[in-house]
Amino acid sequence: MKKIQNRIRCIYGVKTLLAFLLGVMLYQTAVSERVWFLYFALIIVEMIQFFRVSIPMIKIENTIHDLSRDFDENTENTELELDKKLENVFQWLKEASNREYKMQILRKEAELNELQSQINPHFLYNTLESIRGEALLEDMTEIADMTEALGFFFRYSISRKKSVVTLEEELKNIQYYFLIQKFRFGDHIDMKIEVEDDSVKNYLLPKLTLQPIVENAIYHGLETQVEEGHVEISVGKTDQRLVLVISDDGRGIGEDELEKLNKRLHGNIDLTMQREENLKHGIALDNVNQRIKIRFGNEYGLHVYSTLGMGTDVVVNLPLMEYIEEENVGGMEVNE
Amino acid sequence: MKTELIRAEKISKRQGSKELLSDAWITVFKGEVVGVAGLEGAGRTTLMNLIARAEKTDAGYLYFKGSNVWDMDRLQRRQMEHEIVYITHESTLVDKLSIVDNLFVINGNYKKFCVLSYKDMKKQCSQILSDLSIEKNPMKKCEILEDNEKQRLEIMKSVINGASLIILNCVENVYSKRDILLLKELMQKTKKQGISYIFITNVLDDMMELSDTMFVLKEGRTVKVIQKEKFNKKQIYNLMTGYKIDDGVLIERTEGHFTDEVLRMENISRGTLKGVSLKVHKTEIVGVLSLSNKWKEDLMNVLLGNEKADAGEIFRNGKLVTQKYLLNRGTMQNRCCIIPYPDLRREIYDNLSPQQNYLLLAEQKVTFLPMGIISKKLGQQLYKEAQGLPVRIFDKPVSEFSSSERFELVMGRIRLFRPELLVMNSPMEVADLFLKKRVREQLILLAEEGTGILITGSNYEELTTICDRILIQKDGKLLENVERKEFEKIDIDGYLN
Repeated sequence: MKKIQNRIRCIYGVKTLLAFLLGVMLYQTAVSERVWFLYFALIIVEMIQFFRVSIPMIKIENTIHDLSRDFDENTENTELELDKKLENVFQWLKEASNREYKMQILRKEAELNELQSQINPHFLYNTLESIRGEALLEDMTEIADMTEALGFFFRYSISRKKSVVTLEEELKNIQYYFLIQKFRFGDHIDMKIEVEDDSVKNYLLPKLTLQPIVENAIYHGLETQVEEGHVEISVGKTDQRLVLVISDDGRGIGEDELEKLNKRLHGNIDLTMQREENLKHGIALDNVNQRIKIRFGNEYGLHVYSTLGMGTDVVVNLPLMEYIEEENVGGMEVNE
Repeated sequence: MKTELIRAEKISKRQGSKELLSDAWITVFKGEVVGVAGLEGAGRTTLMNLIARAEKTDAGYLYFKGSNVWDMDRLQRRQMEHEIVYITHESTLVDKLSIVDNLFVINGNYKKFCVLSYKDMKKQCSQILSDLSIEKNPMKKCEILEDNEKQRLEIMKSVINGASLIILNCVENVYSKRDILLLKELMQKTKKQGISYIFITNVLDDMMELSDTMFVLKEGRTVKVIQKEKFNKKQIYNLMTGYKIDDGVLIERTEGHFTDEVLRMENISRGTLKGVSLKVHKTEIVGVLSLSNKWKEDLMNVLLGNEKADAGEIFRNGKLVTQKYLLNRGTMQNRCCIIPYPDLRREIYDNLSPQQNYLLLAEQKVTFLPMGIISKKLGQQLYKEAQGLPVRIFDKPVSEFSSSERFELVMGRIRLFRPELLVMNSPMEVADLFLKKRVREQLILLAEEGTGILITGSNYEELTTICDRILIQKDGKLLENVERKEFEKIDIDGYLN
């Protein structure tokens, strides 16, 4: 509704009428020339105001009215167009991000393939078997056990067959890993595994979840301390999750460092996976954490409790995924 | 399989510039008792308030039965609020109503009785009281119950009302060993019905006794989660403080010959006091082990002069005194300080500044000087003389004081006054680890400066750390006087049970 226009019409209608009546009155009362001069001056002022102020205001109102009418008519189409454009942008961003991520994966796979081609695993396994054989012949059972453990460990770590494994397999691997470490550290370190009940061993988790964390515990927690060090792995489940806790009674982590570490672990997945040389405790934990989050979502992953001088607990939260007989090979996911 | 009831992750909460919680985690499963250990200011109460009231946080997640609390609709929130009960030392039972009314009528539980049949309600109430080892008539008013009996009754009331999680904030509760055992019994029974508990107290022994899992908080962060089989008192203390600390070490007191008597009570009877006789000498610290809060309260009231003893006599410095004399404390004639409540908030006056609170007794001391008021210069001089008093407590209002700061203020006030007799009711029982140590140090210092000290308590081990003698109270009477050298030989459970 053109309010201003109507108002102006109304006002000037009244003014014109008044001017006319005034003119008639003046004429009949035979006023002086001066009065007539004032009368006409007033009319001229009003006319100036009309043409200079009121008319432009009317024009502005008309323009706005036309614009809003056009907008209303074209709104639906405009929104659709805008949405579609935005959607296209988001889609492009998403694809670009996925592409970048896939490129990184491919790059890593390429690196790994290259590495693998350089280290022929069969050659490695066969060599270890030979060493084991020689050790047995010489009655060096300790060396024989160690090479057997090393063989199993390499087979498990390097093999590309499965990206998720059962807890039982993962625990077996960690026991072999620890056997190797014990050869180096002797009685200086000790490990204990506590499983709530045997049924949890059929639950699934990403391969090489435990080993990097245990390695971290040994090298950052226990290696440099004089007293005997202990690593304990406890496994339990709730109605919602599979929970693994890897505890050590080593050096612990200082408050500031711990805060930074947990902040990183709790953050959303970082696809750039940048390494920082000054990260003392982060790299292995970051790696495990990111693999869990990528696979299962941000609500799962790692959290660290620690006090300097009093050890560290790394808690791994995983969804409950039970092993199903039919499994897709080649690194694809197993159904939950 | 454990069923998750409450899960709080990465909780952060600020209040102004102060960070109350920075990375707090807690998980409670169905049918579990979770203890939350920490020093004062660690964030225990903040975390409990958050869970009980589903308060918003600055960061983090809170789940109740698997659902994010802040995504719940109104109905779900109401249900959650109904199922989580928060019990503190301030009982919600109405003292002037009967036990049966408190248990059934108030919350509308009488509806299951179809009509308001007191006979049936009384019968069921009697059964409940019997299960809770409370030997009281259900038709009597709640005011006859001891504090810990009220607490057990409140727990039972919550269970009847359909609670699934009961949060017990017992920081200001004082428990005897028997109380703890009865509470444990109740918890074990209700755990089987799937009721879970979160328990906070400053007494680590009690927490270790009751809890299945313990979360240790330090400066707003969860630093460790410990299962029952791995509870280690020393380790927990170290985690709470961040460094190695020894607790409960028997402090060496110079073996003294105490001659000058400052207080003597002979055959005092009043309320629960039955023919109580005791003596306190100058520089001596005498402890009274009592499991009854009512008994301690009655003792305080008689010594304060609030109540006149029905029988017996009280002597101060060898002279028989009247109730009027006892009422007129804090003067040159009767230089005596009595702290009747474990909670020192009652000793501090919010309408006075910290300085005025500090000078309270000293002002009384100089009342008889010609000036009659303390001059500004004298006041300043007194501040300077305050040894070991943290200066910062003069910079903020008393309403913002922590427990430690309140203690420092009250002890500073007492030391300024230099009483000949100090009586304190359970000074260590609501204190955290650090404060307990400070309490011991200050009391010993005061004793060595010439004050005779009488303290009460329900924890024998704690009393042994500073007392020269311990009197054991049972059934209203003082049964035994145990000298310092006999402390470790005595079978205290045998006396009390």
